[in-house]
Amino acid sequence: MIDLSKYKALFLSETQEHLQSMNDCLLKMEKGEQDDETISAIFRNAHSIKGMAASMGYEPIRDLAHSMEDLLDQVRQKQRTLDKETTDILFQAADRIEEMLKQIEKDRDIESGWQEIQKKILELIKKKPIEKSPEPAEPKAPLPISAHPKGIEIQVLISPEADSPSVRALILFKRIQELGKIFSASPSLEEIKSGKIQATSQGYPLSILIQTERSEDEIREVLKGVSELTKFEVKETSESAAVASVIKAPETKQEPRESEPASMGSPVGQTVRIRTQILDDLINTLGELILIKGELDELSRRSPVPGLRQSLDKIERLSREFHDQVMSARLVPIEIAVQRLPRLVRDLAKEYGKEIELEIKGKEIELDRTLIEKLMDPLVHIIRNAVYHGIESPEERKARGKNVAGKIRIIASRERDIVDLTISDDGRGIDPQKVKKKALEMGLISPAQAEEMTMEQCLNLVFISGLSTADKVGMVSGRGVGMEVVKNMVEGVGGTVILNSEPGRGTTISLQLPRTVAITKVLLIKLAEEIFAFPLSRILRTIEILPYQLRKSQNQEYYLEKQELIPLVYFHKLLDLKVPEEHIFPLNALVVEGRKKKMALVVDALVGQEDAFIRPLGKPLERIPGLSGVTMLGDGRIVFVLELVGLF
Amino acid sequence: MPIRVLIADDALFMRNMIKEVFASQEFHVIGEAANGVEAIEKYKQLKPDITTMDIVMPLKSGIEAVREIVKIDPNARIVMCSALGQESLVMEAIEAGAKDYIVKPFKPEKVLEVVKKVIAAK
Repeated sequence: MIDLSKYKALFLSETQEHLQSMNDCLLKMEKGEQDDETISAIFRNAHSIKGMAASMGYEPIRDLAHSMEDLLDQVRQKQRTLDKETTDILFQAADRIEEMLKQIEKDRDIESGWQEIQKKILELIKKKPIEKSPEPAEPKAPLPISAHPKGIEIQVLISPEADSPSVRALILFKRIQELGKIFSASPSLEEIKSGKIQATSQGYPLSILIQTERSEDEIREVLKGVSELTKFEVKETSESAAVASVIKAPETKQEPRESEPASMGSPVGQTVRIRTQILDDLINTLGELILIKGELDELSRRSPVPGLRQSLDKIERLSREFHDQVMSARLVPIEIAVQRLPRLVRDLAKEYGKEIELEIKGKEIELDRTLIEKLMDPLVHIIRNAVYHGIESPEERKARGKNVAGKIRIIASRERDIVDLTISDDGRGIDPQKVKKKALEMGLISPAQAEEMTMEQCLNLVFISGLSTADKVGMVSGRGVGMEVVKNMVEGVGGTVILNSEPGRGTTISLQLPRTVAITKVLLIKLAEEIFAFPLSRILRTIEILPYQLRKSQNQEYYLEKQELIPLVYFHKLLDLKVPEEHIFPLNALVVEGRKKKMALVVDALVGQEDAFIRPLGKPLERIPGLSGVTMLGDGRIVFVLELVGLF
Repeated sequence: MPIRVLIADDALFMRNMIKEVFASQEFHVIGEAANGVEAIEKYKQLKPDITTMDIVMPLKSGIEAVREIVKIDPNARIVMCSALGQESLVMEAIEAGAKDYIVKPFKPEKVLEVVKKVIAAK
């Protein structure tokens, strides 16, 4: 008996991937991109899920996927158009499978309820709309509809001497496309277009499965007319065999042809899946290593040993490299966090009768995987807000002279170690007065406070728990807990949230996140005889201020720098520490930027730099504003790591 | 009847080289164009059996010229003349409707093989 449990994680992750791909394809098709390749892709997804679930013994998933496959087969055979009804039920089924995966993951029994979806699919299959799908007019003479097109497998070897094998493959692809419908191709059209075509010592193999009315000889004739081919084979496959090879096609490219030795550059083996825990462990071990190196630094300072310094420097350099390498292994593209959003936007827009275009840019920007995980829920929340509160109904938009379809943009970009994820919509925006009124009504602020608040401060009230400007509490948002969660998550990892909104024009939320976490460069500073660590990434620069650089206005002192006035604040004050009675020049200060405002934070002294492995604070310390963690210095002293968040 | 050829390339040197390749009883070079706009004009005017098209040309690129020519004549037989490293441009041209490609520096036999096969294809 095979122990299936060890395959569970793999089953879950692979099935998840297939579901994601299925979702993407369905969305694409819903937008009208109903090409054969996409249909085949969804069909393959359903088929793979069915096969995997069957081998794992998850019968409900197997059966549901099987019914999806049957339905999709009708679409593929042009016996059914992918209309709204069909798409919706496929979406439902995919969602249900996803739920079942979650139940499996938690070792729970699979809940019933999936049978109803299966039943609906089977009924739909039986209904079988006979109407032919509105196919683009074929240039060839019309064929009798009753004729069963054959499946033909074409195997081609492009000459190793071909000038541009991928261009040749594309030409071939286009020629074959003129002959019939392409079921599958290995390499796929996308791979060909991106130049990913694998060579063997005999040339570049390409295999294409088509459904065609043409005879094998006719196809051979066409292939003869293509340059740079060393050989080709054309053979008919039965309908079922055709389907089977659709499934198998992607594997064929990985099999060395005939007796040939497997090539060294084979795509297999270039990536491995590893448990993410291993990466976390690596980082932890490295963190300990760096701490020990710090101890050695300290020892060598006290009793210098010839040559020790150089060795320590080497360790320093290597551990930095090691750190970067492990960190980059932990980086994953933002795509993982945003890939579900098109579907979410579609569903929400439908639910609320809104028309929305979603644009996502910078998917390839990478972030530490723990951040990506943490980002998922906040992102969903922001998007829900944008759909529910932000984007107006089509009628309202029309009346306001806006595009009927609202637009939500998600743009990721990176500057040094900070990744900026900006989510904007062109909806009605947030009215600061309305927010203020609501906060007053709810007693979150006093009338006196309200009086003094700037527009920006009013706007930022939305981050306070319990505040919601939704006129009625909707299912998806307007419960007033969301924005606080977003803010806490982002700030919890050392990032910032910047909210901008213009009534009538839309809302923009920027999440500025550190690209990686764990080991952080910190500046050690002295405040009231205590040493603290402050993340270097938060510091624009350190300055020494002399009396002539100070200006005073309305009780606030400013540091004057190139005509810019930067408010001067004693860091002590933010932390409730004893503030020096008078300035002792030169004043040491850190120029920082929080909430888009610069500030010069005065400290008693700058002590030095350190690579800190920041450990989170346990309860109840984690609730203290201004403290984000602790770190151990080389000499064993433990210092608090400061964070601006929550201080002003 | 000889195969009627139109050569589009901004370099006179290249045009002459290609002309030499086609210097036989079988072919007849009926026109030359030095830029994309001229290529389209000459195509309309001459209706050649085959056109060799450089990719990078002034006024209009070879790819744009292919797009416009195919609009006028969906059966146009155009062979792209490319240099190594222009794969993605050639692919774009193929997507636009070009039938095949040849790579500089040209080997006469190869150019003829490609061109003849393109002509033979229905």
